[in-house]
Amino acid sequence: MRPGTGRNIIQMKPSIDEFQLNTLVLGRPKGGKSSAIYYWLSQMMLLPILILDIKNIWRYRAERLNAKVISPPFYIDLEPPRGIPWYNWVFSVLDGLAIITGLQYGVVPLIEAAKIALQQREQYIKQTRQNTSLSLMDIYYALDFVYLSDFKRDYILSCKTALKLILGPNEEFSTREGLPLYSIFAGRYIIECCYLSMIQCRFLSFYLLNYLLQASYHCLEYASLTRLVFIDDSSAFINRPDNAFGSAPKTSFWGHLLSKLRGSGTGLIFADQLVQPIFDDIKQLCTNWVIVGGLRDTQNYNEVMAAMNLTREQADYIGKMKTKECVAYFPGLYHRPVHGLIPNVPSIAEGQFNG
Amino acid sequence: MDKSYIAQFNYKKWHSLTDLPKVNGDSMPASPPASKNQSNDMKKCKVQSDINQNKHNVACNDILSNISDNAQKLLYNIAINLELSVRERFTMLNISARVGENAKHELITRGLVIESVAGKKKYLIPQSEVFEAFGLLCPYKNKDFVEHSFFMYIAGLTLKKDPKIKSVSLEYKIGTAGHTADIVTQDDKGVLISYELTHSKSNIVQNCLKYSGTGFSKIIFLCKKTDTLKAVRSTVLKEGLPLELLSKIDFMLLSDLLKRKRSGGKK
Repeated sequence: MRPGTGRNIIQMKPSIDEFQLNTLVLGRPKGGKSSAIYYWLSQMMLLPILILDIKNIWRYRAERLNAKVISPPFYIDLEPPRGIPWYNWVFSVLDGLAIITGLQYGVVPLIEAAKIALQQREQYIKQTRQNTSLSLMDIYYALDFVYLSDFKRDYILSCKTALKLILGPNEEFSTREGLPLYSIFAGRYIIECCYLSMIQCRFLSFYLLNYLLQASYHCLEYASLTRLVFIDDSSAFINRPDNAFGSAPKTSFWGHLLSKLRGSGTGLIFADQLVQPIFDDIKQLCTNWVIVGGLRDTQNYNEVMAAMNLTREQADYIGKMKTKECVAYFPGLYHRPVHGLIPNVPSIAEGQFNG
Repeated sequence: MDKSYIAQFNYKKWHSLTDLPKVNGDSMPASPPASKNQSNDMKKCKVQSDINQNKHNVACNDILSNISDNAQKLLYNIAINLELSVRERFTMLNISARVGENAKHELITRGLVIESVAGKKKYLIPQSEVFEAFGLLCPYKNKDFVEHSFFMYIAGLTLKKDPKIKSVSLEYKIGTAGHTADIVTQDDKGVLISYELTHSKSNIVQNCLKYSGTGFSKIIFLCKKTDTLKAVRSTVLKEGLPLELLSKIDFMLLSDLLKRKRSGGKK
């Protein structure tokens, strides 16, 4: 790579299977991250994709990407993937919920409530002869049935608070039948998450990827890319929730999911603006790194240098990069980072096109 | 953006698992309007609760300092062992009937406890201030209806002792219309049974109809007196309720329920 010389500037067009190893796209605002990803996605028109869009901008590209938009309000139930028993599935979801909400002592009553809710569901099906799913709202109400003398009242209250945080005012997770996730993962969809809180975003991403992971338990390992999940402006999903009382844990549920999802043929692309707040396990498990339009948080150049195998001179150039100029490290494709340009794509800004 | 790119899915709205879907053509009798007697009863209850509120609006320390030692001893026993009858208390405290009756009379005249009868047993019901005075958590779900809340609580305690019952919930929400069941139990197989404390026949039909289309296997009306039980039973049978609902309804004396011991729910 010869940064700034104009030589070796190539059109950044990695092969599709490179995205099976997870990709982290970083860059300053308006640097061209979304354009780069849009270009790559438009090269994969036959591949199932799922885009989690927190800015509601990808709906304008839905037609060109041949994708359908799932706009709010949408509802998600706790229907397990095919072949997974209800008990195993619900408990794996509650495990993630506890990690995301920071629930510790309340986990046991939560599991008790889940058992009661599953029994209530069985009774409902038996009495009505109609199939129904389960949702987090059912577990919330089943907490009233948990035998209080076994637990402190505060534990149950903390469970209810955790569930309310996930349910939120929009109650996305309270329905008798929600999105058909199996067919969504087989098609091309954009889920608009603009009204979700950060904690809901994290739970949504956990739920969807856990579904993919568990659905893959009955399949052979894939050597090529079969599905792509892209999270645009992913700070709400992958950033550590630091607060005034100190920093949050540096790892999350993502480590477990990312390390195993590759075998199911699922590739993930994260787009974000800052390096520092991202969970450590995500940074370590994203093999491909792309910087588009430069980075502003110069304090973390060492981290970027280590991840992208850059020299000090190359790292210093990151701050000077122009819009659509990119440095990419695809270890499966090139053994060194390459300097390139993002091909022009139609802009969605006020209906103008730059391509 | 072209609207054809918006994905459409058939969501099913959430409802509680205890609400069963209504079958088409199933005609339910309309809820009878609240009668004048009922509204008068409610007013009386409200006035009574207001009087009680004013009567017991004293500082917590005053409650204990102004009563005799025996009364204090009895009051503490009442606050921590709610489910005992008057005779059982005297035996437990090892006090004579005369001393016990005097202490009881003192507590009743000071408005700290209410005496109530269920079957052949007499119960002493502490006011919510008594719990505060001893630094205990008040177990009443509704402090305006102390007697109702008291019997609901001790019936719940008795049901919890039944090994067949896995969990007991008080004031359980039914559906989305704001109705609640007094006591709901669930066994190991997930079968739900509801218990309703009934003091009169005035609103019995409304109480029955709130259970229409719900998933309870049995709805048991608990009455304190045999006369009330007979009156309630005849009112329910005459009202022409749907057979499906009627088949689930049962009646029971509260005293029979409170006699239940640990031996598998047998009397």
